[in-house]
Amino acid sequence: MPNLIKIVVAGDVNSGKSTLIGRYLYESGSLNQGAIEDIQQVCKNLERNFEFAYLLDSFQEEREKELTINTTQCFCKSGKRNILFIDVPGHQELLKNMLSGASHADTAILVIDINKPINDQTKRHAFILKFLGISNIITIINKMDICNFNQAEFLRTKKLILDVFKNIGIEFQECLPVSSSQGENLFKRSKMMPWYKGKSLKELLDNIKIKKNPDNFRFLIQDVYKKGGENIAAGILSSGRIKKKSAVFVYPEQKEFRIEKIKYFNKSIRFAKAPLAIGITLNNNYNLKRGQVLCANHLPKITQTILAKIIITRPINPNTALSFHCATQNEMVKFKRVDQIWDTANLLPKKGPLKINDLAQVILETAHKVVTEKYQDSHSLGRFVLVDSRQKISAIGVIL
Amino acid sequence: MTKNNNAEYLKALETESIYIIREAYHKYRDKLALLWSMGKDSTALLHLAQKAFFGKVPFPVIHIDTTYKFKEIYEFRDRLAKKYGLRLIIAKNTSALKKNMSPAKNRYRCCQALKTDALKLITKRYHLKAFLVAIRRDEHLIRAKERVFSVRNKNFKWDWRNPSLEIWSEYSDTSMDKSSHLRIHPLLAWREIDIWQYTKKVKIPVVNLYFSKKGNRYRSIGCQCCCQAVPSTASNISKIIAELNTTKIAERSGRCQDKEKTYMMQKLRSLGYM
Repeated sequence: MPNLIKIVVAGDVNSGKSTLIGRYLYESGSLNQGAIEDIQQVCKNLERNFEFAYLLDSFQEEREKELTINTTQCFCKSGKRNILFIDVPGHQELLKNMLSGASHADTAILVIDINKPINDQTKRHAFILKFLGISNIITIINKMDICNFNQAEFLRTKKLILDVFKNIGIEFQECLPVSSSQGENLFKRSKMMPWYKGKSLKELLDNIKIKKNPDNFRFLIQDVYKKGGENIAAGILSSGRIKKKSAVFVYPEQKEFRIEKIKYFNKSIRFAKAPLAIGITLNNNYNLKRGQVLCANHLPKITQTILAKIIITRPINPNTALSFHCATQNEMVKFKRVDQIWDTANLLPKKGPLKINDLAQVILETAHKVVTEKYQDSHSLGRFVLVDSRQKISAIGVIL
Repeated sequence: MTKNNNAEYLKALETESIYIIREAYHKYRDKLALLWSMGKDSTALLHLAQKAFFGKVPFPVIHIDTTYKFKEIYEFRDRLAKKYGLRLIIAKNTSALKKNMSPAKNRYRCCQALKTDALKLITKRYHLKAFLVAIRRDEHLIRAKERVFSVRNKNFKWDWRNPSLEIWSEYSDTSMDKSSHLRIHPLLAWREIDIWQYTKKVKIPVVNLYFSKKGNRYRSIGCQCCCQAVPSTASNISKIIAELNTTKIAERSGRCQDKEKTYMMQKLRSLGYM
């Protein structure tokens, strides 16, 4: 699917995120026959007016409570673009569902209800988008119909959100006035707001550019399968390209080898380009193992000390050992130092102990050497999760 | 849509799915099985599993047999199982079948007994902990809410209100007790058209019920009594792809369990249905 953008629609609870996506699907002609009739029936049963949000909020409880609980995804054809919309809950207690959805996005729409003050949850979502490295952020000031499409109100809210972005360090990009329920400025420019001279959401999405991934050769080993006397390292070519006979490094051991065979399905191939799931054998049938990384060009770092920013997702005790999962690496890890803690809602420094939804800059120490890169240089080796002994993710992190 | 761009996109989908299948095998080894209904999606999943392990699938493949499937499906199953050397397990709820359970009695209870309960029996008998299941988000609004690694409790219930944190490609948040199991969904991100384009590109065999005969074809197949053919002239995969580029008819519009009541799919799934 060419020109695919993955858009997370973020913002506070009840700012109209699901309605925006539902309406956009409708306007773009992406809905199946009968979809609108089905929702009409649901709304009739609930004795409510028609709700575009129900195209996303499919659980009975979500519809009855008018609240997105779980994240969902849907495709949409829009002009030159194919769009994957990711809907996420706005509620503070559902932050892990928001993270689950948002982590798959390359673009974000931040939705703000013009009739409410900009609150902590809006700031927290804006901050998380920045944390996840999503650089394209479009701000939508929603529910313009309720304030009678008033320009002064729009400009006032725009200034407030500009200050929030400045505080977080997000570059301010596009900001447009919208009424999701009425479809104003989504697929077509609004006639209700002649004072707005900018583009509709569709026009903005048509022209958005997606950052390309780095191109250094990285092969992440998932497992080793023995087959016909060979040890095939099965893994993912996550970036770059590779040829038979090329010299590569096995990390973190820092040993140099040559690629003997590249296996793809039941064949041997001469050349592979990311992304591709392949198998690799090295000269001397060198025995590889899960967690190792084959690499070349701009080699990653080998370390036991990791400087990172983390968001806490479960109650955490920095004195207990956790396990550090980064790509297919898995090592025991301890907090060496907690440098700073911030409240993700107001971004003010705060005192410990670490609590759910806090942001912290920390130094971690792993039991053995691991292979890392900065998050900005490599997604797969630059991000990690900390898992507790009950297999629960206690924190998510990006490497600085 | 340029051909090259689309090939790149299919490669990316394939890579992600194989990554998930291998992660599942790494964690669950002989406690893992693949659910194969012989439909286009689970047959594509079977192909991806062969690719992941360079030929032979190292875990069993389960067919949940309600005994009400089309005869073409049974023929297809036996032919491919032999050709690929699959370790095929047939899961039947024989006691319910002895009591003449059928869709004619009650569709909802029939799905529950002959699919969900049959899976429960086989899970217990083979001590299985995880299943690879070929559901996709774009099939149904309820399935769109799924996670790739999704826990079911001992009663097969899906606690959708409290799903795991599944960030990036990290599937480690799968805490579960001894009697729970996992549904692993490697095809969640694929669309119907992606499956067909991939099936065509890598030449995966499909049951001929998908192809138009006398102006009708099946878009989604299952039990003969609960599937309706849809009007279509698409008699081969290229024509199916062309049809999908323009149709506004939902994929599962011919499937009974999606329709009867608005929340039937939610109810079935919350009790352990796929």
